[in-house]
Amino acid sequence: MTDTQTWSTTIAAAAINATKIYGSGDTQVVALDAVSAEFNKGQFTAIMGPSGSGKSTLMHCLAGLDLLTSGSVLIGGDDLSQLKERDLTLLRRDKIGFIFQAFNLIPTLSALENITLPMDLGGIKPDQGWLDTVIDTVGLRDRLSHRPSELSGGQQQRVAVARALASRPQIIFADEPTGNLDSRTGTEILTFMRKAVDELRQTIVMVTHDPNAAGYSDRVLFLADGRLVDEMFEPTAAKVLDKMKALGD
Amino acid sequence: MLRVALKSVLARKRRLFTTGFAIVLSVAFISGTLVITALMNSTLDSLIGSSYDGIDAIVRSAEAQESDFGPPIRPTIPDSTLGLVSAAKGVRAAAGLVQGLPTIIDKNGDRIQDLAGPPTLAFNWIDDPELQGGRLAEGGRPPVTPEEVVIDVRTAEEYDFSIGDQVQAGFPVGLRTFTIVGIGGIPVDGQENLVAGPRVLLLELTTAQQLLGKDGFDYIALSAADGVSQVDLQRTLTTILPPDQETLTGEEFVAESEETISRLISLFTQPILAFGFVAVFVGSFVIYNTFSIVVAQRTRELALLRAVGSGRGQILGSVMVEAVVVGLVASTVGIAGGWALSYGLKVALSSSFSLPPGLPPLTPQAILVGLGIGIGSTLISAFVPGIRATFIPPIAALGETAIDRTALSVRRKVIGSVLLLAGIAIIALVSADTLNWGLSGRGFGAALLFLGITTLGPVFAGPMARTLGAPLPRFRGVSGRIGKENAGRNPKRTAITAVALSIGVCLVVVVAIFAASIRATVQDQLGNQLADVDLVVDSGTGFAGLGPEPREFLESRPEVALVNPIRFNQGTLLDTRGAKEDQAEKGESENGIPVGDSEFLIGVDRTTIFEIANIEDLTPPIAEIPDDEVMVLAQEAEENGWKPGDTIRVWFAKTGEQRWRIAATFGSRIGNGAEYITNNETQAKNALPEFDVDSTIWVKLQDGLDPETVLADLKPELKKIAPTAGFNTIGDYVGERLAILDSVVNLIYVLLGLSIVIALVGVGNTISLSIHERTRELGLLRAVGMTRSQLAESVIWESVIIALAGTVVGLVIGVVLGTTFVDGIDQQGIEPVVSVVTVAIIGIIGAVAGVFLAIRPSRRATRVDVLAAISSV
Ligand SMILES: Nc1ncnc2c1ncn2[C@@H]1O[C@H](COP(=O)(O)OP(=O)(O)O)[C@@H](O)[C@H]1O
Ligand SMILES: [Mg+2]
Repeated sequence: MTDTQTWSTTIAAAAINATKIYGSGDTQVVALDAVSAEFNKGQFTAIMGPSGSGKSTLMHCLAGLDLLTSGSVLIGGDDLSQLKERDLTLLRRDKIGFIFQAFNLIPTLSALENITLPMDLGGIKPDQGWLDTVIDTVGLRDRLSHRPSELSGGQQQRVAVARALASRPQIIFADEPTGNLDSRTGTEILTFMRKAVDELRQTIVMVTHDPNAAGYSDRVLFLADGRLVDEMFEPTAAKVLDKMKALGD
Repeated sequence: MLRVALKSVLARKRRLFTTGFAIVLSVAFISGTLVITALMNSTLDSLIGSSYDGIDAIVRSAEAQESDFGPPIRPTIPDSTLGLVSAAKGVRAAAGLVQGLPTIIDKNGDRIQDLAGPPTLAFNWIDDPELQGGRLAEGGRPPVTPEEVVIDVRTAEEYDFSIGDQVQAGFPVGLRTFTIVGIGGIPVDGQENLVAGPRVLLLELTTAQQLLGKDGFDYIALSAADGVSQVDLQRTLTTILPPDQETLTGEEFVAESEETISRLISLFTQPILAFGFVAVFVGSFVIYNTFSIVVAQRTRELALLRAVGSGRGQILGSVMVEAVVVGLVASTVGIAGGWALSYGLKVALSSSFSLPPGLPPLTPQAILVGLGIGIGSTLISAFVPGIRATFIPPIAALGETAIDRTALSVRRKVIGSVLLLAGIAIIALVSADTLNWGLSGRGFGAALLFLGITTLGPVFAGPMARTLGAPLPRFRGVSGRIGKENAGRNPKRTAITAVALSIGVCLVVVVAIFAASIRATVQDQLGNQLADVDLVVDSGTGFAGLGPEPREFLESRPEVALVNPIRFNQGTLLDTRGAKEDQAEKGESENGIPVGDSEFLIGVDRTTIFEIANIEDLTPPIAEIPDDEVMVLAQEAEENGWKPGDTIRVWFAKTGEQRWRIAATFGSRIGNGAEYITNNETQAKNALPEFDVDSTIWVKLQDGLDPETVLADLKPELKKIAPTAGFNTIGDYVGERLAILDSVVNLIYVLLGLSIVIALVGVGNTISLSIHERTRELGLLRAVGMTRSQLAESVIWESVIIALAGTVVGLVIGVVLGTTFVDGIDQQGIEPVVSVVTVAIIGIIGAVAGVFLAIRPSRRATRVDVLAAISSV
């Protein structure tokens, strides 16, 4: 268990006995089976596991996009299961950043408008200094007025990273952020994410399939059949690959 | 392939519903009108057929005075003709008939007025049972003394008259009181029960002649002896009749009467049908849009079909099958709805016409036209999207769902601009009188303008949506910005959705401008020019006119300073420019009747008029209109090249060719808008009995008297001696005219509302389909923290912008066209008036409708499952 003291200083998010069951009776699927994990501030965590092991489900539940069947998720001191739909939405807007695999941007908004979208939704004026830092970190200064359709896949994903960073969320969740990119662009994005953790003290939780991507993280959690089966610190691509093979993916 | 197509239809029942809605409404409207028209025609035809059944020939004057109020009016033929034809070979029986327009007074002493429907008629009773088409109900007998009358069964029922009751009626010669001795009707198709057509009073012959001012007969009806055919009888009669009389066979007479009736019916039904066709037109935009969006959404599915080997024809077929199914189902529902609607119309009309009880019979015509229009318009509207579907490359099966991003072609811009500019140029040139194309030129310009706007719509739509939405991001933040961007995101879609609405709005604005202009004119002509008139006596909605009593009564009153009776007549002008053109084409006369312009003439008091009315620019300034002289509207005189002192020729059925000196010209119309004004003596001399009555009386009181008080004093007595007369202050009289105008305009608004509803449903439809297409985007917005209410708001703004764009374009075009059309009919002296209030109200309604329409789609948008939306790749 986590006491309030630790919360304020080191832990950004936590899952406690998180259980998610889809369907009922014969068709029942236990997607998450009493998963408990903590995500420290300023830490870059990768979640890995074979297909169908519950990675996305865990991430969706951590991010307040889906609700657990039992157990709880805590973000910044809030127990998500206690929040109403509207408060969950506001929590996502104000405290969480998202990077999806694809379709991260609103096609009718410019790159800059996409980056500031969560803050605009909250009617909050972005901190210009921070915004400049983020934009320069991802290197988008000369593309700000472009629409997503005028950007390459890698640039689009960089905008998504910038959006996730811009509102200084408690935590950023990324679901296979490099899944749709070629390896060079993917590496670029991962480098940005790494930088965000190192230089901007961000907290990131990333679901991935790719041992190389996991190699950029500080810690890897391994899921299998909805259970947390292992944990690895200071991972390298090779070590992760071995582990995955052991898990039979 | 057919199975795939049918499945696609069934899988999207909602879409079927919204597309079908436009068709259901317009088909119901058209079919319903056709059903009621057929019912009225058949009912009145069998009424005419039955009442004229025993007539084998008629004889009447060959000279006819065209009338704006109905069939031509003819002078009488002398009594002597009856003797002549009765003695002719092959004639079994002959009877002379006179007819006229009385006003019946009900038991409360009020005049019976029908706002719509046929005028009340007075006839003489005919004894011969074959020539007398009507029958008396049980217990009645024919009128034999001047105080006896037979009344029609409908009026008897509606106003509770029975045999033995007294009834009053007004005639040109004055008010008379009768005893009812019989109740009559027509045994339609030999049936027992009697049916009434128009309201009728049947009088003994000499009484009828005297009361209606007829010195002979309007026509003679004949029955042939056994074995003599109608044609034989007609031939015999032709040889013995003088050249100024003509004869028709019974069949011709029936056909002519039926045609007159059906023309009158179509005067009422044609405009309604026209509104139905406008609805179809607007509906096709909605259908076109729906199918375009559907094809865009089905791109992947269609591409997959192409990839697995479907031919282009099969793809087109699959879209068209859907169109046929939608068209068929919707037209069927529409026809059923129209049938129900026709019953409603029947009920609404039942106060003016006696129509058979029950649901009107559904005619094959109504079914065929309904199906044809419903299926036809759907097929035509779906064809272009269908063709576009065949160009989807198989490779599209692999990609993202395409959004229609086809660039706007240069050809579209060029053609659109040319059409638009040509339209504007024509309207401008015609308005500036540089081009002499008149009203149809303006209509042509308007059509080009609309085509141009429709073609250029997609070019304008994006910028326009962004302009209209420009303030939104500032005031409404991201929701406003997203709504604005979405409205302009798919210009073709936005344009077509908006143009459908523009058409409806444009028509409403045109009508509003017409109404406001006519209103202003009525107010000016009646209110301002007649400012010195205190009280007005009118003869109501019929054409019966006033007897002599009101005038005599008013002239005898000390409170009254001036009395000016107004009369109407119809004459044929032989020297106008139009008349000369017609004469050059058809010759000086046709069937013995001179060729010319049939015009409306008014008669006024020869001197009083100058004291009571404010006549502008009277040149020269005369103080009396002498006999056989005329005052002509300056503009009319100028057009025909006349000036005061010239003589013009006018032909009347009663008096033949008259030569009138132009006494003066006047600047703008007075009172009822006539262009030719004579004194009442000249008017009376040339008028057939139907027109030889006062129609309206203008009254000026002694100085210092309060019109309201005098009216209250005089009204009871006037009502007693002349119950056919309405009696009001000038203010109330003008108000009454305006109220009638307003009710007509409101009816038109309701009819146009149909098209607007369809167009608005189209806006809702476009929004719904667009939202469906944007599921993932909505999911993303929700994921990154857009609340439900923010999302709903963005959808509402999108809808408001599209609705507003359509409304604004409609308003602008409507104002341009309304102004140019009103300007074009300046014949009637109407000046265009644009009511800012009306325009503002229509704009606000457009915006509010946008909000209203977005409620459902926005609710659906907020229910998007975030996870499903973002995790489906
Ligand atoms: N909406 C759902 N309904 C039913 N079962 C689901 C649903 N979403 C995921 N699952 C099941 O839950 C398990 C975990 O899925 P997921 O979290 O997507 O796995 P991963 O992302 O690791 O591939 C799988 O067995 C999957 O079939
Ligand atoms: Mg997954």
